Amino acid sequence: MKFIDTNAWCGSWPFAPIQGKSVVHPTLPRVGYEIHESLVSCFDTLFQIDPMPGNRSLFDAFRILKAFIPLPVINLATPAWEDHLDELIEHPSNVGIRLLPSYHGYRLTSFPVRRLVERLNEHSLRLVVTARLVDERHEHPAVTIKPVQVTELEKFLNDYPRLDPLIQGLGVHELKTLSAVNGRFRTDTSFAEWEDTMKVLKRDLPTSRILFGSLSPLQVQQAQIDKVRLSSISEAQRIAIACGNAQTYFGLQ
Amino acid sequence: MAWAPDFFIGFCYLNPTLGERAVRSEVDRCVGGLGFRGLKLEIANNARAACMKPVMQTAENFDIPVLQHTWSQTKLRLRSLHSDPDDTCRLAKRFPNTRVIMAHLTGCGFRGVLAARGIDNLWVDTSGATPEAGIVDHAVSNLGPQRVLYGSDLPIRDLPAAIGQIAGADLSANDKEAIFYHNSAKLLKIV
Repeated sequence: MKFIDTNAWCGSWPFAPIQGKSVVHPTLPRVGYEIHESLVSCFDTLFQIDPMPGNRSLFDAFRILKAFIPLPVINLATPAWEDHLDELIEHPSNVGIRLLPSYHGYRLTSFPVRRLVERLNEHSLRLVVTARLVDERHEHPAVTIKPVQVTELEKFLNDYPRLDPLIQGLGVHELKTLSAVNGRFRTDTSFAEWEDTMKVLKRDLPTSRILFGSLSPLQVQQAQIDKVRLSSISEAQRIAIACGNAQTYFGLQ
Repeated sequence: MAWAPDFFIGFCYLNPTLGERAVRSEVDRCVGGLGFRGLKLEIANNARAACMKPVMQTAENFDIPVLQHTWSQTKLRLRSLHSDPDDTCRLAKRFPNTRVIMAHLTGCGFRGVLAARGIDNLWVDTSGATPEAGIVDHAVSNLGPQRVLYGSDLPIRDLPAAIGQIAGADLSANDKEAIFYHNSAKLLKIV
């Protein structure tokens, strides 16, 4: 089964010994793990106020590695974010923008979000919102990063009824709650987990709205793949979640 | 257990706060009468509490392991009901003749693994939370592969993901086989 990973990362992660396991490591992509293409963001964009050095390193690193598609990050709390967006829009391989409100300290209800949505619509770029990267119970003692709350996501979706964003890092209960009040979003598989996760997700979301995301290298890639590959849902649904939905959503070949 | 006796191995759930008489009575019924092979302690009290003494002594008498729910309290701060890895490791040290399984490796985290070093009657299981990278490898490197047991946390976790966390770790095939089967078989005396 072919997979497109919509939630992969590279660069240095300060809180766990996972260096050397990033997607840019020479041993990856691992053929046995069936990842065909990965949308990749850079950890440097989280911890540095200016995300552009991390974004530029992505575009440089993946210029010739076509299996890796840069998914750059915009920090809406920086005064220069619109200049950054201008630069990112110029890249022909760009398919979208990732936001991490919890890491950068702003709300999805803040004014710059409205301006960003307008700009993305003008250029037909997708918006990816990371609600959570790490289980908040397991954060480093010195770090407290709260995930984006469902109530905030609900208001965000209500404010932009035509946006159709990809919201990543939500658990099954959060997805159930959010989809009950506003189902106009896509999500990824990275944090959703229950017995036969895909079958559980399918009760609350159409399969077409579920995209594979591994959160590699923070999570074990094989475990994330097997969660989809070995699910009891139909083969057509597994293939859609593994790659078809991402191809359609991001317009990939 | 009655439905598939060759597959399921019963662990007797106990609430230690109910007291010595209730604990001994339930262990007699489940372990002595029904053939359960271990005790399972969830979120009822901290592993350092005085009510743990009859539980541990009873486990020693029946020669069965005690699985203690454990989660790092660095962020949760619910220590009166939960056990931090420090608490479970302290429990194992206080009762060196009783085998202790510190549940939820991912919840115990890297600090929990370090707390568990050098305790001969302590094992950790791999259940709990999403399949975070590096933690199984860290446990094997610090505790040795023989101290790590496969755990799924079914039915509140995904089975292929729980297996894939070990299958996808940077470990030898022998270490993975030990974690998946041999360590538990030896601990539970089923081989």
